[in-house]
Amino acid sequence: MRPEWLDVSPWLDLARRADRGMAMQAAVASDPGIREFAILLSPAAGAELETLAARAQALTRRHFGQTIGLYAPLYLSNYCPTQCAYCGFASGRRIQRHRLSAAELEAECAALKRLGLEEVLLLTGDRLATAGYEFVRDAVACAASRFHNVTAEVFAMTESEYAGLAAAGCTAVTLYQETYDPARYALLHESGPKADYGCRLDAPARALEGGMRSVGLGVLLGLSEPLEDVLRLFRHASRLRRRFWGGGVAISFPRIRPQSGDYAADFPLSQRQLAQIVFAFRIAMPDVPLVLSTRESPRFRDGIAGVGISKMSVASRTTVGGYAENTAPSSPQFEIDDHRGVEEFCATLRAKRLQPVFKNWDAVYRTPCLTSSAST
Amino acid sequence: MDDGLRLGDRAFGSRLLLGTGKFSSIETMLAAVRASGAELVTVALRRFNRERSDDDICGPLASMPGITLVPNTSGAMNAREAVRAAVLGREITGSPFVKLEIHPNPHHLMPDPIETYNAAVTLVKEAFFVLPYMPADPVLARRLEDAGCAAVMPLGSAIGSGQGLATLSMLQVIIRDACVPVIVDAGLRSPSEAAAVMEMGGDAVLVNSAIAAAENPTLMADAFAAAVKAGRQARFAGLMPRSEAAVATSPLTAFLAGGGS
Amino acid sequence: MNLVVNGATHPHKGQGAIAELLEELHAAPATVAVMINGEVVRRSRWESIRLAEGDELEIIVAAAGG
Repeated sequence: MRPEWLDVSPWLDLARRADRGMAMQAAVASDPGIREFAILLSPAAGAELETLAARAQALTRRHFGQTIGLYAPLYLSNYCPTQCAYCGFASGRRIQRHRLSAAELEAECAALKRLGLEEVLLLTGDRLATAGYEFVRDAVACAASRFHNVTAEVFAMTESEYAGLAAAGCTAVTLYQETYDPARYALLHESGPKADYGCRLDAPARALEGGMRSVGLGVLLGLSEPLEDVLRLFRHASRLRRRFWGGGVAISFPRIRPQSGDYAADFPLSQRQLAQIVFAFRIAMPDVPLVLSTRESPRFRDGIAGVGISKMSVASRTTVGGYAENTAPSSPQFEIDDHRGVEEFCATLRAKRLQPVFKNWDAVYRTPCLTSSAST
Repeated sequence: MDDGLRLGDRAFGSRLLLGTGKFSSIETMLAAVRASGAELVTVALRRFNRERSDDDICGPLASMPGITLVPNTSGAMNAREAVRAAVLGREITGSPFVKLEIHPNPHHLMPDPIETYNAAVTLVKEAFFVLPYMPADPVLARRLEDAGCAAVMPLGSAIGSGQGLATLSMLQVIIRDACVPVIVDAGLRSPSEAAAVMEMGGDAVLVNSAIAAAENPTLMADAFAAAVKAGRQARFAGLMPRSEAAVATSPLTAFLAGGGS
Repeated sequence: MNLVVNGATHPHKGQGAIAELLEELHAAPATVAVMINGEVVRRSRWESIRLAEGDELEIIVAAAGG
């Protein structure tokens, strides 16, 4: 029932017991794979974090220059039928809910454009009749007429729905598995559409089949034992890259922070551990965008920008809308820690000799990307 | 360790493929084939000529045990001609394999990517196991794979040039990303180059000029066979790491000091 | 009848059966492929074919090369 590629036991031992020599070799391996990735997650590698950071910085520079891609999240709706234990929007919570009207969406987009943003991430709760495929697609169409890149981080869709989003102007889809551990997943997602582990697992592939240029993957760090989850995430990303050679993957690192909301992580991860995971990904997948949100502190974000991380959100609101003045109020999904505005954050990046980049290419040339492989 | 080179629905023990051109005589060619241990041997097509009827190699080659003939479409200038050549080749040899090669320029003999792709699409539909000779281009390799080719055959360097692995960095990318066997073809000059291909993960090599034009083709064929085996074995043995220290300059992880969750 | 075989005129002395023609040419049937007027004619159809005056044939064999 579970695909065999989820079995990462051959590498778990390496991740737990690799020695310093192996870690140093893995850091400079010319063709790194999951074996090197596992070694870089080890405690021995963690004791050499400065070395890993140097390598991560060198590789980030090689593949991304000295740029940081910037985007902002825009929540379209926080209505949700699903009870995810860790989420501020969970169906059981009594919070202020709202769904953007078309006019509010226009105003939010205009506000984001005034801030200088050219890339937007659209989010919703789990699938609802009132905030379902058509709602997302229409929002994508509106956003795509204003922004050069539109990513959707919404519920798992069918391939034809993804094709519809792509046709409407969506360039990428982000979908975190949250945790690849099926038992933990079942525990954390009691009911609702999202409870279907397999459907969610295969959604990124459906998105790429449907013509998305790239998919964003991730686990919510803290939900499960991190080594195994992160190894499975690596496997997932590797397989998608191999199969969909015309599409891309990106990796994000959402982490449950102690102070955010009332859900305490069962497997809390420190900043050092998060940094090590970022460095490991950068070294083992040098050309993949690595994304960090404003969940993390300014100090952490400033430190890791360009040292593994190549893309970051800025000036974020996790309420529904919230950039425009007249949108009705609503509760946020989680607390953010970096409240800096676009100008301030860009100035900090420039002081680090990093160039903030708002768009990668012009939307004018964009048509859905249709290359994929028949072989799995 | 090795379940063989899988092409189409067959598995082959030898990862050295041989071309039959440029030998000084049929006898020399046959001796080289024997010495090489090759199981896949490419042959060309030409008009029957009764004055040269003892040039017929189909008989002696096909009757060697373990040999599968692979007709090549050398001489075809475009997809249409290559498809016709493939059909003729299958008629003569009964082999489902075809080495698709279309090189319109007679000087550098570089493969035509567009005609090759178009021919591959047609031939796959006709149930051939297509082995396309191609430029060392990673995207073209995936396109040919997607089209259903049984393998991809990127060139090391121009046919007969003996320039070795001039396309090394591209071959590495192709090998890393391929989901079908990668057979490096053309331009190999020495057994060490064949070993290098196998060490870096290539699945097989196709050699012709390096053996045919050697002073002692039989001995050279044997050497290539040994090199292919050695290279593959080395890959499975796990080469020792290169020593290359990572140098850290100014502290990058100061932002993690002082705890912080 | 006169046929064109491999680009040259060939006076065929038989009834137009491919097997007869190959014998005339001293070509072993198992080693050749036959094209008639630009079309590959599969071995399984040879017996049912009767060649006509002016037909252009290509008789192809495998050879060392490529």
